[in-house]
Amino acid sequence: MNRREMLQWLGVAGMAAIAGCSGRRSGLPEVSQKPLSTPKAEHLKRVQNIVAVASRGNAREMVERALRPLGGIDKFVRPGDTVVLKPNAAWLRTPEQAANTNPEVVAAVVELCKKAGAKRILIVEHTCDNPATMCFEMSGIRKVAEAGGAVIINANAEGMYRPVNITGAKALQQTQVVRDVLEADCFINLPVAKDHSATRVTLGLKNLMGIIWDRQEWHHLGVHECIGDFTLAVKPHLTIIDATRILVTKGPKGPGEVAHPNQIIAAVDPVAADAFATTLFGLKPDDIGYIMHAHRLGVGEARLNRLSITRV
Amino acid sequence: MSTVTEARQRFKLAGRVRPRFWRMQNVRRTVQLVFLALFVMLLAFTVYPVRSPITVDFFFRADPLAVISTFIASREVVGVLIPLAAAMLALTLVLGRFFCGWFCPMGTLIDLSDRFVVRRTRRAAGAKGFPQVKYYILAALLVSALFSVQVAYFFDPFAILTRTVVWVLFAPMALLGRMVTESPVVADWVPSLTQIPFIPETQPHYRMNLLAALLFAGILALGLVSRRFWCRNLCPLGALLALLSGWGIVRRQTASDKCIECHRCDRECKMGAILPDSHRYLARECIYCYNCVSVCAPGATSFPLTLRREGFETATDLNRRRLLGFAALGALWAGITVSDIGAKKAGNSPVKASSPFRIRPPGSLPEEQFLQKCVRCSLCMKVCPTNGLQPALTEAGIEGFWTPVLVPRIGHCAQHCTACGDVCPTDAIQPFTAAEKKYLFIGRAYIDRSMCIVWAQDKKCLVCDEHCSYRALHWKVVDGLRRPFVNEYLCTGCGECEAKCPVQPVAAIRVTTLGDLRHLTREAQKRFYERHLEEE
Repeated sequence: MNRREMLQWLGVAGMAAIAGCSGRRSGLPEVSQKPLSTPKAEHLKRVQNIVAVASRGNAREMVERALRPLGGIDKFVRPGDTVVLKPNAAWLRTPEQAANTNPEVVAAVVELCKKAGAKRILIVEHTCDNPATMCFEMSGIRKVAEAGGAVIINANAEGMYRPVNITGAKALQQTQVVRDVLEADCFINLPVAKDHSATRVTLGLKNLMGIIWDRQEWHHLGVHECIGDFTLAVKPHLTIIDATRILVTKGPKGPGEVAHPNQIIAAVDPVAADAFATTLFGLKPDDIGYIMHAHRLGVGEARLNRLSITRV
Repeated sequence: MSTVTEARQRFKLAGRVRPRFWRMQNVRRTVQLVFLALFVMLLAFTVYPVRSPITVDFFFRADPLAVISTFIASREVVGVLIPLAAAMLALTLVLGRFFCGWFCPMGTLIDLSDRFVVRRTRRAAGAKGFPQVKYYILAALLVSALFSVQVAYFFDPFAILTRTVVWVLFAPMALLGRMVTESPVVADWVPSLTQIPFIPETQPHYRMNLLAALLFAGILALGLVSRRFWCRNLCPLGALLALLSGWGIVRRQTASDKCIECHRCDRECKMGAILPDSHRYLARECIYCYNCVSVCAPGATSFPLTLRREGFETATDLNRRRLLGFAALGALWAGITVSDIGAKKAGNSPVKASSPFRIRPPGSLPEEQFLQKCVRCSLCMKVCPTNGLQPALTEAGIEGFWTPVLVPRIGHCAQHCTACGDVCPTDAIQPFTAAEKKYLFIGRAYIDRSMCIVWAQDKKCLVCDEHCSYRALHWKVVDGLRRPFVNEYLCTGCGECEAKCPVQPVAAIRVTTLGDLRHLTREAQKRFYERHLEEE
């Protein structure tokens, strides 16, 4: 075989390989969220119905105090863990405009995870606005990530997602989820509480629309149903709702009116956290379609009288 | 005579003499590669936010053809474009047509292709091509510009090259770059790599890429006929510089006592500029590549600084009839393509050549001036962070072919971005600030209620309202559902709603040119914007 023949062979083989790799990934087996270690799972069950509400001091102190009733960060993050944080950094808005999670809250959580011995801390976001890098920049998230040693995963390419099947769903049978979220040892949801034009308010469950690929489809299938269904497949292990300052009109992007409840709400049960957070806006859990849908699916508890609300 | 025969013998014995490395040919090659690298580097630096050590439109400012044709077509002199272009013209007057041999990255690429890709053909000495044609093309372009229609972009080497690099090569390069930087291994290992500003975060795609690729490949393929075929016979920029290069002070000379009549120089001349006798040459065609010096074994050829007026020809041998014919062609082209706006000005015409989707970048001049100024350099398309600026196909009529239009379904006009105004070399897109954008109206969104899933299917959705940066969308409860409405005083036509609308493949909310207020001054647009305050 001379050089020319070899090159021809290599060319053909290369094209075949590229053609083989470029097919749709529909044939891949779907994946699911990494199961928790037994002690972690048992602990989460124990504190399942606690909703902790911290409302004094600065963001760092509040985050720390809100985690106390739930057993502290060490119960969620073990040394060597990979932690994924999902703050809201979807919008080209400054921290004061309250459309994104308060960077101070994100910084506090990053710091706590570092202290607990996390090996890698990833901040995952599939932004709504473009360019995404600008969103991270403007929201102040990039700065705190860099300072705290967290890595930002800008999930704006389909290749970063894996298909997940949802059993028992009403509307959403399958959807693509960021791979890093599925593989995380601990997945912490860090939404900001806001008014929302389409779903009235946006809280923890709604924030998970930032880890899926095709958001447009959800609106066709019914956005409330999809948000609820999705929690069957992917659950955050811990929800920390940022209500240090909240956007009360013209959400989710604003600019609108900003109120300052100065609270941090933490819970293991994502539905419970959202259910309590509706009261920030003078609403009841029953007013919000996706919370009730998730509740009916048995994902969590939305009836406030069944929850133990602990103010710290 | 005997000396010549002896020299020939010596030459045969010596084979090809290996001269020193520091010969002018190698200096020239180095300079060429430096400028090619600079060209590519400046394009790489054309990203938002624009931070470049050298202005990214450097090559267009140094391009007398683009600058002059813009001045003529727009009847306006842009001060910032004068210095570099004038310097190039002055240098050409003094030194000759070195631009094509030393500076032009297109020429460099053609050289590389002639040498390594296209098999060099050994033409019989004397087959010099048809160098007059480039002058005819130049005449056609300038006459068209006189009629205010810019066509220089189609033949301008920098525009061709930028288009090729941006539309054709940028996408695959970005894809490769992102495959590397976004691979999990690299991302974990050096997370900072994912932040490389040269690699755009959204995979770019330009819809005319195949045509641009074919045109460029065609230009390279012409190397099969002769070396530097494009530069010799077709390039109007080369023609413009050739017209100025009859009086340079660097001249090729051959020492008759040393010349052995081997005729290698006129065979090796890239431009076919050396006449068959090897001693005389065409001063307007020589691009000072120093190949003839390098191949001259006896060392008879040199380029001394001299004011001597012999040993060269400055005739262009233009055929008057052809020249007039091409000039008429330019005028005809201008007459045919002049857009609906021109037609409207000429009379009460029903012509509507451009489409309702001819959305221009913010800060663009009114359509007529815009078309006169835009040189289709495609820098704005390169810099647009959402990839929404695309070359126009038919949106702007034939005259507006390849001018930038915003295609919101591909990408919208990002709220805080001012990049296209920053990079536009001719100020067809006038610079603007981020604060001004809220009243730079480039169009307006309208909701197609027959497609909107809220209006037509009673589903819950306000994605357009969620994403609107300017709060131009609002909802009212109609039949028990929150349904979207557009506020005409706040909607700038940025297309963010159209980009994000979940209705596929055509959005249910679309931007059209209705509401495009570019014909108003910025002050007037601001006053229009302020009317929303009265509404509230």
